[in-house]
Amino acid sequence: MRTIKFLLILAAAVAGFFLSLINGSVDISPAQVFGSAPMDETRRQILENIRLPRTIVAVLVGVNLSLSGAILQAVMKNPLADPHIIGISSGAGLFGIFAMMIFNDAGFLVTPAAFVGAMLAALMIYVLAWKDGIRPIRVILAGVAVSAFLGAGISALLIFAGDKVHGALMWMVGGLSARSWQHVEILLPYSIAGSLATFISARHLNILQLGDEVATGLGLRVNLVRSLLTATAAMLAASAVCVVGLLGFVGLIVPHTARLILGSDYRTLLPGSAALGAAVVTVSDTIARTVFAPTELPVGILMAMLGAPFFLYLLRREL
Amino acid sequence: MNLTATNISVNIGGKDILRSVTCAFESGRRTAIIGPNGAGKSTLLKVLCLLNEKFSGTVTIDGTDIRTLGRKNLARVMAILPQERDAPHDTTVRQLVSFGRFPHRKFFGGESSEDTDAIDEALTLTKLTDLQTRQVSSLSGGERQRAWLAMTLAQRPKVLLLDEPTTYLDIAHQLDVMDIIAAVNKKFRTTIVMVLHDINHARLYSDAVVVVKGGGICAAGDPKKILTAQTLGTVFNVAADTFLNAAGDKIIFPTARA
Repeated sequence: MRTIKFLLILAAAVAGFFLSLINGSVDISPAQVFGSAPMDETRRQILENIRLPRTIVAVLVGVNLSLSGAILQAVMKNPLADPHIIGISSGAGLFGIFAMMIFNDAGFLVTPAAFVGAMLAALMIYVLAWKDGIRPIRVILAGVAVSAFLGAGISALLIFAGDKVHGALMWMVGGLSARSWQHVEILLPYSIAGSLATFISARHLNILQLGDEVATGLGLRVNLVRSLLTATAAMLAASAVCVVGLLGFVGLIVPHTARLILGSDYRTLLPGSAALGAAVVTVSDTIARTVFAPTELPVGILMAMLGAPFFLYLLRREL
Repeated sequence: MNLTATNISVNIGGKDILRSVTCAFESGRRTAIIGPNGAGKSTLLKVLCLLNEKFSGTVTIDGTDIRTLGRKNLARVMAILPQERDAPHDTTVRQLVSFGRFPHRKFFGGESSEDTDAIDEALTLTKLTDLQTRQVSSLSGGERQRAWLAMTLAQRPKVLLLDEPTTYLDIAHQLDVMDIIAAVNKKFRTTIVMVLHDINHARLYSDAVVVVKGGGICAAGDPKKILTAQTLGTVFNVAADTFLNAAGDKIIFPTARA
């Protein structure tokens, strides 16, 4: 039963991928995408150099943010933990923009800088929330504070040096506009490394869910595992932020929905979250850029419209 | 396995919780730790299993310092049932019990036949075989406690530590849990250390007792000799009467605040 559900989610991800390739300001038929019908040069250019990289970026960002959220929910023992809400994305953003300004778009340095920012934000949350162990309510409150603090830093940077950061506004809401093969190259290594590190930790995440004392009694080095997994979550979120900006709520909505469908066992929850994340971001982006055509809506706006009510629903149910 | 604590001191925020405590828990025996609230019972138990690492002194298991063993090696011989715990609401009984195999499993690879045997055995011992597909969150308090106990039994521990295993349970379920512990002790010669509140459980279900008060040990030894109305007076400040039950065991009943 669980296998069937997982396969359905996987099918949704594949469907989302092709939906994103087919739809847009220029229609490309499914037959053309699969190569069984002839296609003019313009369409071929659009498909190969605009839609395909953008769709792959959407898939990778969906995977990264969903896995990041799934990890954070276990290590911070908080159902509302999402890299965006608790400020990890803001940390990545602040350091990422700063790096962009100093290194003049030297892309390979931006992501490591963003990772450092994300880790610092995570550290701030732990320091603020830690008092005889981690309490869920304190994590979320510390996260709100960290997020506001770092967000102010981002705003200040953009006001003083917005001309140096390309598409500053798009960056604040999170969008996939004009993402190309260059961005796929930035994301891919982090997505692969991060996903592998996450998947092999599934059993450790299961044990962490039992509480720190039980996990320790079962031989888990709780603080070490928590640090490593937080770093993995920060890396996944930071690489996504570098490419699409502050895209929120994916890491909140996706792992929860996957949990409702597949259950809490991280061995199936993680691959399920990854697939569902790919499906959600590809479909949302397709909707966001076609609904008000020719105006393209940043996907972050759509995610926030879905995500904010979802957050409130979880807040009432879980805390 | 013999568990020995030597000169254990714990200081939290300038306050001495334990002051140079030395005690031994003999191999294959059940030892109850009793004492009033805030005496340091739980702290002592947490030191014995390294849940609390901030202590001075040494804890050895068959002569080996547990600090040098490493968490995983320690978890292969010692299990702990803490009071604070949590499980996702859709966790099944069997899944929960299978988590007890975590310290025995390799980083990669699935459930071995030894794992399956240990899980089945733990379910049988706790009489949960018929409930193994149920969700833990749907069980009664007593069944849930047995499920968590089963998880520690699946670890196949040589030493089992239990922090107030009967708290919040009704009388019948309290006896269930104490009987399971007795059966495990008898069958596998497991060394049992348990923090108990019920004086009569300590008398009837343990081979030795350690009485903790004010961060130190005020008595240790045979529960039948130590746990008297007089001890209750000095340790808990209560007056107590003693009765004989049908089996001829002495039962102590606290009657008033002294």
